Amino acid sequence: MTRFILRRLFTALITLIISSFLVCMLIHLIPGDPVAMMMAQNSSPTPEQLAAMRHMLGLDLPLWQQYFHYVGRLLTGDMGRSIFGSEPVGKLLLERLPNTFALAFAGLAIAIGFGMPLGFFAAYKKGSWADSALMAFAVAGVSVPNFWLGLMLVLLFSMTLGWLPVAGEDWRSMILPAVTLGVTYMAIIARMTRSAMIEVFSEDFIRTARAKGLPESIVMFRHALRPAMISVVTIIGVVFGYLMGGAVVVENVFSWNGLGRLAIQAINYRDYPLIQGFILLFATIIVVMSVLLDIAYAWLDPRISVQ
Amino acid sequence: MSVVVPAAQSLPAPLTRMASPRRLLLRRMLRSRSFLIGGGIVVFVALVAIFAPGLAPFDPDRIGAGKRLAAPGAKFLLGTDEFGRDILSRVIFGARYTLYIGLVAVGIGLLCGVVIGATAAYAGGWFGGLLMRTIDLLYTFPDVLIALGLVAFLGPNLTNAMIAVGISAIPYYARVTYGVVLSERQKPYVDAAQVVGAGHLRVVVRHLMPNVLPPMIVVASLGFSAAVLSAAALSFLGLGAQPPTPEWGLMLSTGRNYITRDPWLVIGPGVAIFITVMAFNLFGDGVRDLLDPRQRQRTQ
Repeated sequence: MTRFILRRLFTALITLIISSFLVCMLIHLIPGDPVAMMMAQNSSPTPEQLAAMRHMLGLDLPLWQQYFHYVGRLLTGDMGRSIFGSEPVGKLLLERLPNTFALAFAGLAIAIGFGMPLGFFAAYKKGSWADSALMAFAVAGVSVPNFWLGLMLVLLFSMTLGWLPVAGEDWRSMILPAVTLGVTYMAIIARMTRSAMIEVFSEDFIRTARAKGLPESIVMFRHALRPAMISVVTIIGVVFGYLMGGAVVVENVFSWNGLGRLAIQAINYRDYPLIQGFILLFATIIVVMSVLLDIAYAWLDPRISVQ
Repeated sequence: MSVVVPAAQSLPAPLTRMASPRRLLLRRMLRSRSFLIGGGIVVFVALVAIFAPGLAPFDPDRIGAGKRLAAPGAKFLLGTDEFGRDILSRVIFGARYTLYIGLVAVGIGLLCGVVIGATAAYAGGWFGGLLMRTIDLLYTFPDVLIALGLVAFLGPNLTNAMIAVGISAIPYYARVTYGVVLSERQKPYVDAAQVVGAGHLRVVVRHLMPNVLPPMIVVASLGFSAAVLSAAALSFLGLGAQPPTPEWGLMLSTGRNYITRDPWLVIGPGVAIFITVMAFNLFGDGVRDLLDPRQRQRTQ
């Protein structure tokens, strides 16, 4: 197990190195001179100002040295300064991170909390009208654009019924964004759980358990649930990453003060250091989450760490 | 190859009375609800896009076709927007943008993904391994995030949004292609082709690709719906189509400013995206069921 964890940490490190390299190189996608684009907010930057900015970002170095310059700064905790407002990028991002985490975890809780039981139920009632209805709902759930669903929920629950606030910072104002974010992944998890359960139900050990006269509830919850859980846990890692991505969009529907809103503002102001920091932070979070989930997965299914 | 023919001729007599595979497939198609409903709507949306100029009651960009923010009625079935443009006409023309965006994005993603995935699977070894490791790495990042990052640096407009959405989906197509090619590669017909002296390129293009193609139809259809969603999200965030383009995501973005007074501004375009995306998802699911009955048996 220790060896498995060490190896997993090593690949995570490689992943982070590659991601930081890609993020560093993104600046060269900017059409024209990146420094001139960044300073466009400043009415007419002098050549000295441009050169100073170029030097600060390390863009005056040869291409292969730029990455080392970038990582060198990252390792001292310096993610650069926001061009607009000149605050440290790290500080700006960390201020918003808790809000995005709160939203993403609330969305995840809704997705798992409703998706797994629904999928389990659909598999148990396979072929019934309830199963068909749930699967139709699942197709709708993966197809609905979350930004539109958000607007529709606001229209119904905030404006027509007046039950929930449109925006704010307390838990009540988090309900609509979390539901909006969670619905798609609830549908995905329900579908996954359903097919995993159906597969498990046809296994020999389930037939054996039933044949020896165990009560149905024990067969379901003790024998069938755990192996099915494993295949669902594996996708939760991917789901979490996509949930964080979805949060970027949903935050902008509900004016939720998280990273996603900051990112869109940064893009509108061409605040490139802030955008780079945002992408790198997201990449790091996703890598860390996937390591944690892999370890959880290996713990659930000991065969994994041996491979 | 003539290897299959003698085997088919020596089939036992009763089996020859079975329906031909084509008839069987047709029968299954007609029985598959997902395939019929999804495919039907896809065809409908395509027809709307093609005949948009004839179908739309007004020019979608005509400012002041009616009163500003008029409620749905006999003349303007879906109402008018903040410039007095007919929303129905804009939704109809929006179908063109949506299908165009989807085709370009899927085209970019599929082309690059298939080349990368097939190369990695066919080459194997450390090269294939390294290629797929990189793809796996990119796959863990949400596609919206990759697209967002690319658009942020390329500059926000519709062309860049399509490119970004296409690139963001490459890992998905590459992974599926890799899996399919890897399993096909181990089949005897590949060895047979190589034994007869076919070169690598010939084996891949003439022998592997025809067998890899059917599963890719499923993947492309599901990928199409994802591409439409991502591109609409980018436009909604102001990073894709720019005004006055009648693009559905952009229409939602401008319409939300009037949501309190005039909710119909966000209903029409939203329903259009929802239905189109669902149609491609159903169609993809339906084709998968048709191609792989075993999978269907397992999951139904």
